[in-house]
Amino acid sequence: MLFCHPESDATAAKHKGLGKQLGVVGLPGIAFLTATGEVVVQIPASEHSVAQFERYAARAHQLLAWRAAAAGGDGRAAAALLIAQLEERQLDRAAAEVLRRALHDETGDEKARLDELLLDLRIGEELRAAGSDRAVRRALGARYLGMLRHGPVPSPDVSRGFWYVILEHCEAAGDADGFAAGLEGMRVNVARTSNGAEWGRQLLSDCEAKLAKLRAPNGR
Amino acid sequence: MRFAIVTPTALALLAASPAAQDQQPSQDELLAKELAAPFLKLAPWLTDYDEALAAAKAQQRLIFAYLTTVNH
Repeated sequence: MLFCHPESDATAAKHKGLGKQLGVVGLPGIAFLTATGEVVVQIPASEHSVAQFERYAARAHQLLAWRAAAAGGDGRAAAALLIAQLEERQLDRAAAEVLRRALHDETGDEKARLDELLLDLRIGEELRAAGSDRAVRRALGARYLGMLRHGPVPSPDVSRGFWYVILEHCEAAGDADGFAAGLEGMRVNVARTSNGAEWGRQLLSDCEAKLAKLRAPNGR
Repeated sequence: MRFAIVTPTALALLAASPAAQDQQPSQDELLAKELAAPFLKLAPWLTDYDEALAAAKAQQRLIFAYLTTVNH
């Protein structure tokens, strides 16, 4: 929490719930908005720097440029816009698939990127549906481990839950090799999301201890 | 809640804001600290959302919105 609200009670009341209404998350929530109040890009709370703000400002302008070009019939811009909206988590899977069907063609790179981003969304839906149901999570973990080995593979930004359920399944099944594969994915996720925080180090340390236990004779 | 029309200067000023803290001070302490922050005195912040929308429309610029905890 960096800042509180410096305004009068009346002004605060006027803006109450605005962050939620806009769909801006984080404390504080930082975003670029259009003049109609549409969120173009949100800035994650992990890092605040001039370089980061400028990067996201450029991203916001790029999205708007792609949108304008796509409206003019530019298929490449339409694909780039859809990819960017998925990367910004602005679309649910159903909406994204409708937009994808409207693309008249996709390059190989666009297809690969759209496939993995839509897979990320599907995995997110499955993880939310599974909740804390241990049996369902382990079944998901078994399937996701198969995906790691045989494809399709999600993007590096897939939910951390993807790696959690793989680890849970492998720990329960005594699969040290599978656990090691899941741990490698978890390492990448933590490196991308923890910003060096203690929780990330602790999480990896716990996983390494479990892997050592799985690899020990008789699992001890 | 802060709104700014995007300019490089505004970005630089906002980035000069204090770093996150481990402890959570009281609302009064946070308020005092925020009001003392240099960027609040120098950046062209708007604190009214409707005013920011109107200005963004008139100037054809994006809004850099800084939404604080009170309004979430």
